[in-house]
Amino acid sequence: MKLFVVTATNLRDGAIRWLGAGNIWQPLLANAQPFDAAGIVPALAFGAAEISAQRVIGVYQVEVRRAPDGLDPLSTRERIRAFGPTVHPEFSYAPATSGLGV
Amino acid sequence: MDTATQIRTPSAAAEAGIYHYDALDHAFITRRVEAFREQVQRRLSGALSEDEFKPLRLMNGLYLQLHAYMLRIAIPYGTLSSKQMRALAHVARKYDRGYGHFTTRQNIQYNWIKLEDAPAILADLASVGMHAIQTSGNCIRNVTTDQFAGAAADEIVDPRVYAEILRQWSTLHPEFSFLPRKFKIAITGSGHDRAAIAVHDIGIRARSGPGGAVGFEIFVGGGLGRSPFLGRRLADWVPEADLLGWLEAVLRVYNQYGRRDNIYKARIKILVHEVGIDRLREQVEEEFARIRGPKYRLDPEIVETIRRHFAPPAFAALPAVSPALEQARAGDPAFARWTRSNLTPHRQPGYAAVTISLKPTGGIPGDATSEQMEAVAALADRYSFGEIRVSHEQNLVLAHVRQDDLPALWRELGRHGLDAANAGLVGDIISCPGLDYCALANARSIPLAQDISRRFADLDLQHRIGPLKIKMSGCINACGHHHVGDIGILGVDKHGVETYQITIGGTATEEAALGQVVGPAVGYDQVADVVEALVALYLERRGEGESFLQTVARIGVRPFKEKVYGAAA
Repeated sequence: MKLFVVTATNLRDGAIRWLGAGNIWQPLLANAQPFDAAGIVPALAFGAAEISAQRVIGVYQVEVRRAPDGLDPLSTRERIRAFGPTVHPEFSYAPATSGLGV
Repeated sequence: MDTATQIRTPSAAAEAGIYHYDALDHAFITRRVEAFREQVQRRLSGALSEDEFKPLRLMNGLYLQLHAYMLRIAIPYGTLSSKQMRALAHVARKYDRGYGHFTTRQNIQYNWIKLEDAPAILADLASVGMHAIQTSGNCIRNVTTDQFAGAAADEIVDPRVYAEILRQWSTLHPEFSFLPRKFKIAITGSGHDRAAIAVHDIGIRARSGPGGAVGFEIFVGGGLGRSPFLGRRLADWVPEADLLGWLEAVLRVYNQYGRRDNIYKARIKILVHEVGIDRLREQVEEEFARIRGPKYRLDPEIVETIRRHFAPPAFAALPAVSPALEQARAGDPAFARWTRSNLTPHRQPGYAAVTISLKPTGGIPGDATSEQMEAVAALADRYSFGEIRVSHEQNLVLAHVRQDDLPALWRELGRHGLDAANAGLVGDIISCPGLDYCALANARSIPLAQDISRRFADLDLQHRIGPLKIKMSGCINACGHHHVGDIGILGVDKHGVETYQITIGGTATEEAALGQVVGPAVGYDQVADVVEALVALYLERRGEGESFLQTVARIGVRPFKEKVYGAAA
């Protein structure tokens, strides 16, 4: 079964956000709420409403998998976005679950 | 618009070779900051939607990148004062994470900006005559030039005079603010092209004619990206008085006929390719004939006034060779090595132009911390008339240093991690931000540059290899100029996996050439091995004094291909 999370950018400071339980925006992917293909639809609708409320911009879904350490995006781009630039370990958002050396 | 009459005379100079804004300029950029402050407030209050706000923030250099907002600040023709450099350091420290990234457009970018801080940043920069106008959007971008302008021994005409004239002409030009696509102009005044004019929308070579008259050779339709082209010669000799009229005509033809239906075919290089250089020349000449007249004639008095602003600083009368420099070279091999790679001959006896490499072993190409920026500002004040240049190769330059002062300068650079003796060598890698920061990128570039840099950490090896340019881009947009590297590296997303296409034999000099693909793309973990293999083959096969390009031209790509795919297998 495919798993997805909803991400966005905080309007005011440009920081990355993940939609967590109870429709609360979270700063870390680790606190994101995973959805299946059916569940992602209302989650994205909530994200659209949050755009209208001027809280976030750029809402979209990211496909993830469950890894031993938590959720892990499938694409390299989204892994870098979720865990931070690979060239500045001090800027990491959270430990990467594998691979990119963050 | 009164094209030529819009060019204004400058105010008095405080530093050498810096164009200082007058009261009108200051009033304008201050108003611009206040307008943007109001726009940001309206965005944050919800009065403006993101769709409405996006073009406004982009017109002020504010992008949304992978992790945060990114702010790009203009550094006109890569020249700034020590005071302006200190302001850039201040922005990095107060509003970002303590560093900035110097770009291949001779600008600086900050990667961790908050929208709510952007107006305050622009206000701080406006206080030192800086802004972010035309660092984004489909307009004429920052005009770039030779980082050794006004200093290089081989210079014929000082291009800064005309770069400044073009800056004033193009700034907020009402007809050219919504072109089919962005438009980049580069100008050089030397026989040896350090400004990469062949890969710009318009490339200009300033020349000296009979009686010392200045004229311009104009190339059009160069560019990298998805469809790379070298510029074609549009005119052999445009007299100084007609420069703006000619450029106005080129831009008008492009504005009228450039494609707006397809973003990938909207640059002027595609127009040149589709209609042909001869037809384009006819159109430009027709337009120029139509508009020719006082309105577009560049007044020699204005040129002279601006030229005076770029008058040489108060050089001391010195012997051509400095005994102190020679003694220091003889006594310290590391210093001698640095002088071999990081100095450029100066037109003034007893002086040298110094390249401060922002490519330490394993470092991030083009990055400088606040402390390093402040150190460079202080060194510029002490040794180079308070003036600093940014090169399109992502280094800094102190253009006018007394040779006697070079040992002391080198020691002080070393204290700040700025003494890498690798300018123009294999460790001096151009790299775009790539997937670590850029929302457009397909693959990472910075960590590969760091990896390659570590492979060639031995500076003696770098010097034995000699001049060799590695240029790397994380996507087809080619911000890292990979098409014109001796070795070019292009990141490609192949089914979600980072892969890299390798080219060899490119150059952006007066012998401009686009690199040739060596073979199938390789994986992230193979790139540094491939580069090592290419360099190893060059060392094996090069003739006496032969450059990498000359070796590629002589033996062809095939031997390199065989070497690479053996190495990568």
